Amino acid sequence: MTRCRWCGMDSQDPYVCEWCKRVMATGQPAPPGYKPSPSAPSPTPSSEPTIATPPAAPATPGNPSPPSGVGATPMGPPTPSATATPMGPATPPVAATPMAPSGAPRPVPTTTAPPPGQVRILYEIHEGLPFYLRLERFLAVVLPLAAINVLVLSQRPEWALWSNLIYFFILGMWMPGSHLIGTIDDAEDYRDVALVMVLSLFCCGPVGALVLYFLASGILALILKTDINWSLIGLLLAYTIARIVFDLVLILIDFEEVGDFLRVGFSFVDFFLVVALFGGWLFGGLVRSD
Amino acid sequence: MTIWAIRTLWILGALALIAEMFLLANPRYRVPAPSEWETFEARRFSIRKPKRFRAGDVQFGRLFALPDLALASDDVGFYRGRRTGFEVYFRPLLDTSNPLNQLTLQNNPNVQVDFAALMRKRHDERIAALRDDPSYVNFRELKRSLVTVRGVRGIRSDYEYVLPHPIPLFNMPVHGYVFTALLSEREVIHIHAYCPTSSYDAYQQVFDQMLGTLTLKKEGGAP
Repeated sequence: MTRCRWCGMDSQDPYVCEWCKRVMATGQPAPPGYKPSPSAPSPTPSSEPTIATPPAAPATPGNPSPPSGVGATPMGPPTPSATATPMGPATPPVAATPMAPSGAPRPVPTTTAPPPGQVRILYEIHEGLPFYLRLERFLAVVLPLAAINVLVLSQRPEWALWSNLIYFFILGMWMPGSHLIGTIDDAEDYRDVALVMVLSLFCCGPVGALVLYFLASGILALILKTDINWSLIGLLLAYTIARIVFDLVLILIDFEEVGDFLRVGFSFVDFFLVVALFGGWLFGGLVRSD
Repeated sequence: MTIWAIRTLWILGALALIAEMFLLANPRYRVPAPSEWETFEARRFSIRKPKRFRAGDVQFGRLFALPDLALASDDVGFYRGRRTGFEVYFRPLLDTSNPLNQLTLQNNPNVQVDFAALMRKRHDERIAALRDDPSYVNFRELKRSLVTVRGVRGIRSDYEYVLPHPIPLFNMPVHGYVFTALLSEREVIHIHAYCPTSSYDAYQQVFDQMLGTLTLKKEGGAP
């Protein structure tokens, strides 16, 4: 049995998932008319993501061709009836047997293995860009907007609440939009969001909320073996850094004091900002193009 | 977007952010230049104030920014954040809670009223109210003096108190003064001016200039 990395189900066919009908290696839909080979070998314990070769044509009677195993080099001389070249990077793919007699059974249509470079690009599209590229894409929007917000705060500090609300909504929306974090998916995400909102309303400011949530989720992960919501922690980290910068601006222009930032107790302002942040996160997850 | 456009955007954003923070931090405290002052017309007075001081209601003005139309009362505050303010109050000279006071004045015009004593009494009451306010922790009157502002004699009390914080390190001392002067036979004016102790030297000049430009209007509204 091979576990499909696209749908998570166990499949007897190691090349194409029986459940989601995708090619295991590339995630592309299986070619039309594909039938699992009866002589499919037992699945290999691990399959590299860069290997993408669905089973080739059925074996020719009397000349059983070895299954186009994953990453396996054909053990014998190449047979003329082989319809696909397994994984030769330099070998041009062969689509079909050109010289088949007219009475011979028609071969099953097959797909050709994409070259390794293409496989890597497909893999990155599905799995996301490398972290540093996603981070750069996130910062390319967030940093210029932060500079604009600092300008607004320094000139009109009494607009701080509205200006920050807009900024944090955009930040929350763009963080999943840039694929830096995941979206709000399940009940656990909503539970964690509610927990942070309660912390922000009744307990403490952004730094305190981040530290308390991180400690609480870490302890729960140790005791109950639950997952740590890294998306939420990443979002809170970005929120805290931005709040430090914006509050520092208000402190520098004598509009606020350090004590206002390191708050302990009830605060509507922090609550509204967190609501805008999570609202943006929710909205960004809904409109994100996967 | 290509990777270079993305890279350019975030690098420019980061540079702009650093430059803005640097400019904001140098210098921190300064008295506004004359071009940064404006005249504010309240219902009962006009005053020149720094543009960055926001006019507001004395009850909630330091917490919320309200439009000028909402300033329906005679008392007006001018705020720079929550910790720095200049507030103007109008209060009756006589104790209105005791109707005998008014009857005495109305029925006996020959009664000599010690207006200076009444003004002092109103000033003491104002200081006592601040001392009893739980939000003014460790309130203490530093000194009391008789001052003259534009020919009007009044009493000025400098005070200090602490704005408490759950983390004691961030308790903030606040320095300010209350100025009380007689407006008429019926009314006194109180001026509250306060700011964090660390920036009092800079803001005292601002407060003095504001106090020097305060002009009362007559009943019709004209100065």
